[in-house]
Amino acid sequence: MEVLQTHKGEVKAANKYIGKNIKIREDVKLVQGKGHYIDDLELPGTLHMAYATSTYGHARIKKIDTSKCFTIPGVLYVVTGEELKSRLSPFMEIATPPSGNLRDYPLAVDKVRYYGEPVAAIVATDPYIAEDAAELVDVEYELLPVVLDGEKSLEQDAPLVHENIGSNVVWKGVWDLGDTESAFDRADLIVEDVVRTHRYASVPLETNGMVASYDEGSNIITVHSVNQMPMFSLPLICAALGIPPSGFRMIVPPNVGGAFGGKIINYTHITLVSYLTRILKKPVKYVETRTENITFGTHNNERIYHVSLAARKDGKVLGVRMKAIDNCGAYPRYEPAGAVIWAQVVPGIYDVRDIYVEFIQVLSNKGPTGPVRGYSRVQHNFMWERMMNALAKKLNMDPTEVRFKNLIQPEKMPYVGPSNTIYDGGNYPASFKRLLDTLEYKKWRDLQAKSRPDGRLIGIGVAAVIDSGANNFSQIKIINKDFPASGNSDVGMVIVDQFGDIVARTGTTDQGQSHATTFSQIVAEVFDTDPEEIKFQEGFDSISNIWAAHSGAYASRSAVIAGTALYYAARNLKQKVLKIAQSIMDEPISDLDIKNKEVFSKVSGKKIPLAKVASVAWSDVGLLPDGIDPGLMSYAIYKPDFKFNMPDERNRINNTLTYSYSIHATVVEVDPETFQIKILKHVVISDPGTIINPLVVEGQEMGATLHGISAALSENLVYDDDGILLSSNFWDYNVIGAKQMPDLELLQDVTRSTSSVLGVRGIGEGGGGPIGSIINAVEDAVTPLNIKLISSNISSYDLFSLNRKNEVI
Amino acid sequence: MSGKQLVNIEINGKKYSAEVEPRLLLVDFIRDTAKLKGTHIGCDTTSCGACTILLDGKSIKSCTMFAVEADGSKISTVESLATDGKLNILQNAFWEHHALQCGYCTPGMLMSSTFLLSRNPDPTEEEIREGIAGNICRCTGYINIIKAVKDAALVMSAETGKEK
Amino acid sequence: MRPRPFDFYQPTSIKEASEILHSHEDAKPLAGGQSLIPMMKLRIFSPSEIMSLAKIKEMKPYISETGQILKIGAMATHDMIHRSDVLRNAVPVLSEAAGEIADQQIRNRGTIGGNIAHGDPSTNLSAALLALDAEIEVQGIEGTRIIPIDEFFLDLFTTALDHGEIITEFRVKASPHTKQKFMKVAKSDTAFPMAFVALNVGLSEGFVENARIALGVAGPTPLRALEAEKFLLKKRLDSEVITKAAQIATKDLEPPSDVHASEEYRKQLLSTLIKRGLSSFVG
Ligand SMILES: Cc1cc2nc3c(=O)[nH]c(=O)nc-3n(C[C@H](O)[C@H](O)[C@H](O)COP(=O)(O)OP(=O)(O)OC[C@H]3O[C@@H](n4cnc5c(N)ncnc54)[C@H](O)[C@@H]3O)c2cc1C
Ligand code: FES
Ligand code: FES
Repeated sequence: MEVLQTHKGEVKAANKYIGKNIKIREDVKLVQGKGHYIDDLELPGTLHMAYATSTYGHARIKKIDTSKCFTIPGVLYVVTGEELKSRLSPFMEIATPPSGNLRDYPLAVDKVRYYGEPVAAIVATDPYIAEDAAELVDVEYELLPVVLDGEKSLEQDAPLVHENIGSNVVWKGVWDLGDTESAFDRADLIVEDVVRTHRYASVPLETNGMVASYDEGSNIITVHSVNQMPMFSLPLICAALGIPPSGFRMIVPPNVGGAFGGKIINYTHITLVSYLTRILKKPVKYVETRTENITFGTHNNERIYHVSLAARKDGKVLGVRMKAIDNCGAYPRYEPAGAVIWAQVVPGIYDVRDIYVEFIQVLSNKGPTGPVRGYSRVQHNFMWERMMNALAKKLNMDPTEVRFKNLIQPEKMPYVGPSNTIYDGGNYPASFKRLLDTLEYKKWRDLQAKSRPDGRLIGIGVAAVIDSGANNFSQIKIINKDFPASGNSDVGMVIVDQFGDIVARTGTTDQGQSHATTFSQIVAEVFDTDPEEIKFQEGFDSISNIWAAHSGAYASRSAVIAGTALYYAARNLKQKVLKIAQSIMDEPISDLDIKNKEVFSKVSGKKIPLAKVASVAWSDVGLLPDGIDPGLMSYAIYKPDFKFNMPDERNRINNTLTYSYSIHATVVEVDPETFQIKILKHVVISDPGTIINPLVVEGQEMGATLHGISAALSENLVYDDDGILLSSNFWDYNVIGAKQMPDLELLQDVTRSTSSVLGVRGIGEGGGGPIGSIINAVEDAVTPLNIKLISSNISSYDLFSLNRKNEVI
Repeated sequence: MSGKQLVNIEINGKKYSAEVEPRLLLVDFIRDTAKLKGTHIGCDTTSCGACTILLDGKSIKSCTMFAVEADGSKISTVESLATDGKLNILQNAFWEHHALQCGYCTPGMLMSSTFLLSRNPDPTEEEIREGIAGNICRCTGYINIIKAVKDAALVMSAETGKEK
Repeated sequence: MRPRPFDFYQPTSIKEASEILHSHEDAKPLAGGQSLIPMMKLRIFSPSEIMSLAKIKEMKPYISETGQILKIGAMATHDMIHRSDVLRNAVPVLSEAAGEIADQQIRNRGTIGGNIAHGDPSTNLSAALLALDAEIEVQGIEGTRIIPIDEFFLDLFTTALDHGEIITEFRVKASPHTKQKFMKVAKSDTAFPMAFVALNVGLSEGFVENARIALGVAGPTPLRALEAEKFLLKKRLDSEVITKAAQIATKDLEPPSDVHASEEYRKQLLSTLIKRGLSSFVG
């Protein structure tokens, strides 16, 4: 009997281990401080690297004098961009020329392009000494004008961030979907608005870190790093270093202290420590300081939308046109991927088919951007939720009513959107209603109205977001049709070892998502064996060859893709076990099954332990039946079929496999004098699809909600007019703590994904739901003050200033 | 007095002595000299609490003290909580409530909570939030941590009740 | 991030400490290190010599009560102060202010001496001690002197301490019958506060007998709202008087502007806190 419930193939009995609240096995060692994080790794003779960084936003490097560094005993090497320019190739760019010609190295070459950019790296015997020496790097700069704002960087006379590409444009494209002309012709009204998203960062509690070592005998560089896309980064690093992949081994330690997208573009540091270890013939370690992490450890894209929305007077949206300008900072790195990734959620959660988007991504003198939890969709989701509110305001309708008018209806599922995304199920209207009931929407509206005359500022906001997961790399071909990546894939491997233990492994990395527990549950289901009995090997090692080129943990893909690969691997292995058992037990295979590490006959009741089968399979191989190879090892590589696999001429593609959604509702109260914002209630509803482990799913949802709340109300990377980052440490870049985090009510309306084999949806990112609901709630609260919000971040100070501006006018 | 100084620090009942530079931060002594890697570093500004330990019974941020200043004192780190691999009540509550994901903040959270419970065996939710206000977690949203501490307090008081 | 190297001294008596400070221009006392060490790690302040106060026998932390006078040793931690029953009853504003400093770990290490000696307008205890009209005992090579708190703060990070002098004790009068309150606004506990006030008002049958209002992050030093204090004298604390007092207290202020708050916004916060604090004393 096969017990796993999959939507492909026959429906099976209910799951036994999948979906169970099994306690997280990884937690046991972590509560004892027995994890193995990158900074814990001590290779003998390790040297330490530190950066000297730019103190300006944009400046030509006239001269760098590093001689003083060597006055400190223990300093072994100092490298600058000048040296790297001749020894490394610039990193590969995703975009085609002209912006594809942009030259990016691990250290600034010729000029610095953002505040905090590394200009020199010092290697010393001790991290304290490396920092001492970094202070002694003497750089002579010639200041250049900065450009910080996305729109300004498009102006004729804007300073150029990279002169050799002739403009500040990284990439531009148009999505002309449906027929917006007719939609706008039919409309009763047009709403125009500007929506901006602000710059913040993923700031995992553990910063980026890596240790490189070089083995002269084999000429192999081994890097231990926290990189979350190791096999995507490996070719970039090897190409820059000019070495083949066989000369480079990439290891990710079993424990990574969070990532949230912020551990992808660290390949610049990995390249540099690799370069240095080859020269110095000793291990070289670099661990970002928090200040460096906030300054360049991956910022979220700042985006400006100019939107026109066409609607009927009953609130039905007919079409929308927009121009989006996306500011990706000084180096694109993983960009311009973000310039197409938003299109995973083109219509948001709404049934709108006539959409025109002109998208431009530009450079500026700010830190590099890249994936940050909810990468590129956060901004687009936010835009929709702001526009829905703008429409409601214009029509004098309740914002929830406008949403009900536009939500995609359940009978249209799976829903093929205007850009060929296939939304894989869910009942949006029913969930939305349940959310509002749980929030007690009506009660809060009444209280709001009743308390306004007393000067109380209570506001209610909702925001629905699509949290698309398991990306299809083919969308990058919209940017560069020759870019050598498409689809997605990952590996699962299961063995029954010589002692009869079931051991599993995948190509993913883990940054706190509890893969060992959840993946063991999948294997347990196939082998009908207690998940506790399934061994899971943590950590990533490129020479294990348990990887696919897309392996890693990003884009909410692990459960969906690696989970499926593992399921297939387990299923295939089970067949082989049964085949061997058939000959040992002398019973027909159709009578046999596995339970609790034993093969048993459903007819005779006879049993043999898995260990018995294993011993025949591995060592007593003379007993193997004809045609069966030794070993009990199964390796499966899974590549999902996205249906609309490749972009068409209108940039339409199904760019992820699953599209989970969540809807957030927030009640806030604004203090009319201090303008402090307090969350009174926050409720979330979501559809994660088949749940493998509820503890893990809930954990991801709470974490994503924290990130959204913190981004909306607190975290903000503020640059002054000269391009100096003013919020570069936790004193000024404030992430919320336990006293700021409100209680949450989490609801789920679970339906199986119609696209993924296990029915699971990727849910790790959360789509930035709270950002929309909070901004909408705050704006609602301050209605009596007539304050209009534009940005995705609001502080009490901003509210005070906006109110003051109103008073002055 | 320039140059290195001899310091003796007792960590989790074991004595460590070493000649160190005065500027060596206590957290580096714990991690690099005593090789106890459970205590983590998460910031530059005494903000995150990943480095929290108990110094003579009181929670402190070990990144904001010089090792020479800890000479002669007794320190407990996360490694002291379990006995022979058996989790203590608080650790068990963290496991039970999945009060962690990546686990990077966890040692600091546990030490702050240990200190809180040592003083206040029955903290309110508000007191728990105050007790861990100096510890940043980027993964969990704090809610499960608060539940775990509350639950640990209940279990502890039930156990002391039994003993009586 | 890690600090630059420095020479380290650990005297065991005040006499020895004074001598070290006297003969070493650059030596900086180290108390709890909760202000000094972060700045040293960020390398925005790097003294070449550090003198620890931890082993000085006369400076063991203490809180004592002699008649109406409360004495607090300079090495008393924020946590000790916050949890002292004596202080909570006699000078609640000090106890509240100490409890509102940063987080538990920082309160376990940071000391009242360091908080005041730092000369930082964003330190809670400076406002509380201003509101309580404290006296500061300092010792140096020349001996001991008492500095009234009103004369202590000179400019940003600049105090009336001469080089070589150490704060040894704070003295405040018990004032269990006055109305006291500490209030602050901060984004989180791991960052510095945006604004705060410490209030100490004596009321007699509803009329103000004496008032001390101290403001934090309101200017280059911890400040008192002298004019507002004067205005309040002999007045009944009704809402009109309270609003007026808050106005007077903040009208000429020039608080700092930074990413968290502009000068204008800080004034608004301070004014609101004064209003709310005073209002809490009546009805
Ligand atoms: C994240 C964070 C948040 C904080 N938030 C707040 C807050 O909200 N409110 C607040 O008030 N404080 C806050 N602080 C500062 C904290 O209160 C410090 O503990 C205190 O300001 C300094 O005391 P210390 O004993 O640690 O002094 P140290 O750091 O050791 O010394 C500070 C200064 O005082 C001098 N000094 C110390 N003791 C003496 C003495 N006895 N005689 C002469 N000079 C002396 C030192 O030489 C040094 O210049 C915060 C600190 C951090 C890191
Ligand atoms: S590392 Fe000590 S508080 Fe962050
Ligand atoms: S569990 Fe990752 S930071 Fe708390």
